[in-house]
Amino acid sequence: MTPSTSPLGFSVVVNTIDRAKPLDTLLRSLEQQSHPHFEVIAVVGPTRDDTLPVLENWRGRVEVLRCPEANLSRSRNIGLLAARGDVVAFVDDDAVPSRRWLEQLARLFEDESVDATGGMVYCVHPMMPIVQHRIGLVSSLAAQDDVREGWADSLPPPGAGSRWTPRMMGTNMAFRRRTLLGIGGFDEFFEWVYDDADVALRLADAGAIVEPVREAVVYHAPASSRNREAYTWNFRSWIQTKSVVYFMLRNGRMAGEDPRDVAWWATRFVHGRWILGGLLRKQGKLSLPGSLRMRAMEMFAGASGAIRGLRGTRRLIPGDVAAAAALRSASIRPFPRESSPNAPGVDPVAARPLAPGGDRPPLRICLLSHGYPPWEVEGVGRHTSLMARGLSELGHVVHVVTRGERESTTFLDGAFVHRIRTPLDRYRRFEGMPDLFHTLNESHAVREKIRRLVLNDDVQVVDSPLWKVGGLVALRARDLPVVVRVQTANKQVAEIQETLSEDARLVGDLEQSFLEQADHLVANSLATVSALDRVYGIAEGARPVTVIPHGIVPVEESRVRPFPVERPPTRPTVLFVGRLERRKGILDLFAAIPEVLRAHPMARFVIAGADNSRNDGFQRSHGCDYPTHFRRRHRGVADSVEFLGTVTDEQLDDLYAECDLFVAPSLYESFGLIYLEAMNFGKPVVGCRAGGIPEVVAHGETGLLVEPGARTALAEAIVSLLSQPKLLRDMGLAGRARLLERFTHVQMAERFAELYRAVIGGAGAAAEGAS
Amino acid sequence: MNVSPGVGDVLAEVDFELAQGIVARPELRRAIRDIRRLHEKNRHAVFGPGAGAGDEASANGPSPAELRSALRRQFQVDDMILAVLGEAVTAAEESRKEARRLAALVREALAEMPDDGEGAPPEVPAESAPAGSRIGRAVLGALSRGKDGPRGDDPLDGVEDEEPDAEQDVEWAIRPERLQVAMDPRDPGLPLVGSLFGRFRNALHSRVLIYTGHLGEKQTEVNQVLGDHLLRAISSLRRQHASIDALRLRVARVERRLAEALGRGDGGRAEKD
Repeated sequence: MTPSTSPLGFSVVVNTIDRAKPLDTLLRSLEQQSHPHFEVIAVVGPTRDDTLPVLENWRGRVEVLRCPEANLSRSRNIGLLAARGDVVAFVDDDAVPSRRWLEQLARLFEDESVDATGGMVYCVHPMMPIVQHRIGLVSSLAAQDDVREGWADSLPPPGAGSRWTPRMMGTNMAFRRRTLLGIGGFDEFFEWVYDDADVALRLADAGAIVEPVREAVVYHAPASSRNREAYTWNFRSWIQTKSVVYFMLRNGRMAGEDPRDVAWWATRFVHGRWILGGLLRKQGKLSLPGSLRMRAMEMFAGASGAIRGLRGTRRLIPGDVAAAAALRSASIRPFPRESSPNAPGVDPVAARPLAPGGDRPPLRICLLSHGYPPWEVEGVGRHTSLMARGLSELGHVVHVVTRGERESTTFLDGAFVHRIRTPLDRYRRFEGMPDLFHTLNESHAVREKIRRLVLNDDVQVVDSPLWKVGGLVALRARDLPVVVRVQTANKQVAEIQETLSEDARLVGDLEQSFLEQADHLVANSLATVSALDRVYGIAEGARPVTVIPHGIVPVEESRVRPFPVERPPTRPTVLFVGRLERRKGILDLFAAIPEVLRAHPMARFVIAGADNSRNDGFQRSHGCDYPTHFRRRHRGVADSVEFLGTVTDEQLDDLYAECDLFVAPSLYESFGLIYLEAMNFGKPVVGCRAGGIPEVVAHGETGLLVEPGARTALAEAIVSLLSQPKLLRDMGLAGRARLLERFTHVQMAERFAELYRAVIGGAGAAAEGAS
Repeated sequence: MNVSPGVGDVLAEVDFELAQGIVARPELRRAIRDIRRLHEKNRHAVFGPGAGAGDEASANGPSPAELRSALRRQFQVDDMILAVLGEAVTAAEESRKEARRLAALVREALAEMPDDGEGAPPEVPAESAPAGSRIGRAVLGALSRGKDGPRGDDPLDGVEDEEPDAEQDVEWAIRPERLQVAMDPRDPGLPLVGSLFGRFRNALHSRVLIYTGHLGEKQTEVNQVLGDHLLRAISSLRRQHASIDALRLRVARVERRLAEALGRGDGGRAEKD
C-alpha cells in the first residue's frame, strides 16, 4: 500500500485525565498511522495517576498542555487553540485508531466543502462488543440515532425532535480548524457528554457541512474515569442530565421546536432518571443512600441545566481569541514516528504493546474462520485462534473475520475479532441449494468486511480455511493475496457421508476452484497434501503448497506430570479423547480393553468425548450407543471403564494431567491434535499409522504406533507400555520435548508469518512487474 | 430447458454480484417512499379536510402555530431528501471506484494476453449474461455491433427500463400542483347570517391561502432543485450500473480468451466450464 500523499496537516488532540496506560497505548498506535503529516497535542486535566511521567517518555514528540479543571469541553478548547493543523482530530485516550484513520479523514477533507466528520467507532472490550457509532444523527431534543447502515437508513429517525443533524462521536471526530474556531469551539457548559452533539448542531446552524462516514475506524475500549466506573451502573449520571436539559433548551429553541415539546421532553428525561434511581436500588445495584443521593443530584442537575439553558450565554471561546487563533499560520510540529516501522501492534483492551519490538515490520493479517471461540469451538476455529494468538505474540496485527448474530468487533487473545452478519440477499438463483446459497452469501459478506479492513486497517494478506470457502469472493475480487489453509475438505466429508446431492457437488467444485486460484496453499500435514491430491487432483508441485503443522500453547512446566516411576499409581489410567465413532477407532479400543485388563487388572480406562453413534450409523445397525454396546459386550470389565461424555476444556486439561497413558487409535486424522495435547502434559501416546499421526508421534520415541484396525497389536502396545514404567516416563518427557521443539503455537505462527511475507512480496513484485 | 448449473455459472454469478453489489441499493427506493409518505401526511395535516379543527383559529384556517409546525415538518422532509441524495452520491462514487477497479483488471488481463489480431468483440450468446440483467444484454448487444456499428451515446439506448419507480416517485412528488391548495367552500349551515358568515370566512381563507401559496411556491423551488439533483444521481447510478455490467462481460470474455490462449500455448489448465 502506498503511503498517503495528502498534504493536509492534522492536529491530533487527546484530552486525558487519569488514564496513563491507555494513553501510552494510544500514542504507540499513532506511531503506526499511514498519514505522515500530523502533530499530537495531549491536554491533561487535574490528573492523579502516572499520566505526566508517561508523557515525559514522549517529550519532544507530544505537546503537553494542562487543563485546570475536569471539564472535557474546556480541555478540547485548549487543544483547539493550540492546534496548528488544517484539521483538528479528537480521539479518546482509551481508544486506538485504525492504521489509515488519518488517511481516510484526509481524503474526506480534500473536499473543501466538508467542515467536520466522524468515523466509525467499535467498542472492542469483550464485556461490551457493540458498534458504538456509524453515521449517527442527533435531534435538537437530544435524541440520538447513533448506529445507522447509511444516510438513508430509518427516515425519519425514531425519537423526539423535528430537526435531525448528522453528528460524530467525541471518541472519533475531526473538524476543519478554522470552521470550529468560527463557531467558538465547544460550549464549556458540557463538562463531560453531549459536547460532540452540541457542536454538530451548532455547526449545522452556522451552515457548515458535517459528514460522518463509515470509514476512519477507531477501536474503543472504554476505561474507568472519575465520572464512571466502566461496565457498571456506577457513574455520575447527573452530569449527563444537566447536559441533556441544557442541550434541549438551547438547541430545541434554536431549531424552532414547540416550547411545550421542549419542556415536556426535558421533564420526561429528568423523571426517567428519578425512576432509574429507584430501579437501580430495587435491583441492588445502588444502596439506599446511593439511590437517594442520585435522585437528589438528578433533580438539582435538571434545574441547573434548565436555568443555564434559559438564561445566560454559552461558554464559548471568546470571538477575538478564536479569530486570532484562526488567523495564526504556523506549520505543525510533525509527530516523529521513532520506533516505526518495526514497532509491534497494540492491545487496546490490556493497554500494552503486543510484543517487544522486532527487527522487521509487523504484518497486518486477516484470518477467516467460520466459527471462533469462545462461542463456537470447532477444529478450524480453534486452530485459527491459536494462529491469531501466536501471530500476535510475535507483534503482528491480526484481524479475524467470523460470523456472528450481529455486527461487532472485540479484541480477544491478541486479535481483533470481527463478527459479521450474513444477509441472505444475494445469489437468489441458488436459493434451492441451501448449502451453496449460504456459502456464497457468507463469502460475499466476508469480502465486504475485508474491503473495509483494507480501507481502514491496511491488511496485507487474507488467510482462509478451505472449509466453507470463506475467502472465495475476496479471491475473485482480487483485493489481496489469499492463502488457503487446507484441513478437511467439504468434498471429503461428502464422500465419507455419501452425500451426493447437487448442492454438495457444487460446493465441492467451488472448493476445487478456490484451491486452483489461491495464491498459496497450506496443509497441516503431508497426509493432507496426499488427500488433497486424491480428492481434487491437486498434487504438490502443481500449486505452491507448504506444510505447516499445527501448534498448541505449551502448558507451564509445573503442570507437566511425567509418569512417577518411584511411586507408580496402584491403578494406572489410560485415557481416550475424541468423539465416540468408528473413524476414531473406538471399536478397536473396545476390543483391546479386555486384553489389556487381563495383563493389568488394576488398570482403568477413561473415555472422554461425545457419543456420535446416531450420526455414524452405529445405532441403526446395533440399536444402542457405544457405551451401552461396550457394557453389554464386556460386562466383566465394565467397572474398569468410565465414560465421561463431553467435557469442558478445563476438565480435559485435568484429564490429560492425571492420566498415565494416552490412547487414540483413529483410523484417519489429517493431523492429530489430540496427541499433541497429551504430549503437552508429558504423556506417552499410542496411535495408528494413519493420516498425519506419524508426523506427530515418533514411533518408539514419544509413543507407539500400530496399523489402523489392528486390535491385537493395539492391546499389545498398551500392555507393553504399562509394563515399563521407566519407558512411560521417558516417552512422555520425549513427547513434551518434541512439542516444544516443533509444535508450539508460536513456531506455527512464525512459519505462517514467513509464508505471508513471501506471498505479500510475490504479489507486490507481480504488481510492480505489471505496472 | 432446466440445466443444472456448473461451477462456471456459480463463479459468473459471483462476478456479477461483485460488479453490481455496490450499486444495488434498495434502501434508496424505500427511503424515497418514506419521504413521499411523510410529505403526504404533512400536506394532509396542513391542507386536508379538518385541518385546524379544534383549534381556536379554525375559523380562519391554519393558525400561525400550525403553519409553523408545518414548516418544521417540511424542513424535516427536506432533511430526508438531502440524506437520500447524500446516500445516492455516495453510492455513485463507490460504483465509480468499482468500475475503475474493474477497468484496471481488464487492462491488466489484456496486457497479459497474446495478441491474436482479433479486434472485434467476440459473439457471446445472450444466455450467458447473468439472469435478469437486461441492461447487461443490451450492452452486450451494443458491443457485438462492433466498432463501426451504430451505437448511441448512452449504453441504455433502446433498453426498456425495468425499474422506473424511483424517478416517477420523485417527479410525482415535486410537481408544483401538488402544493397548490384549493378553497374549500362549505356551507356553515347557519340560518339568516349563514351567507354573511360564509363570505367572511372565505375572505379570511383566501388571505391565508395567499401566504400558503407563497410558501408552496418557495417550497416547490426547493423541492425541484432537490429533485433535479436526486434524478441526476439516480441516472448516474444507472449509467454506472450499465458500465459495470459491460466491464464485467469484458472481464469474462478476456478471462475466457486468456484461458483458451494458455490452454493452446503452454499446456496450462484452462478454466473449467
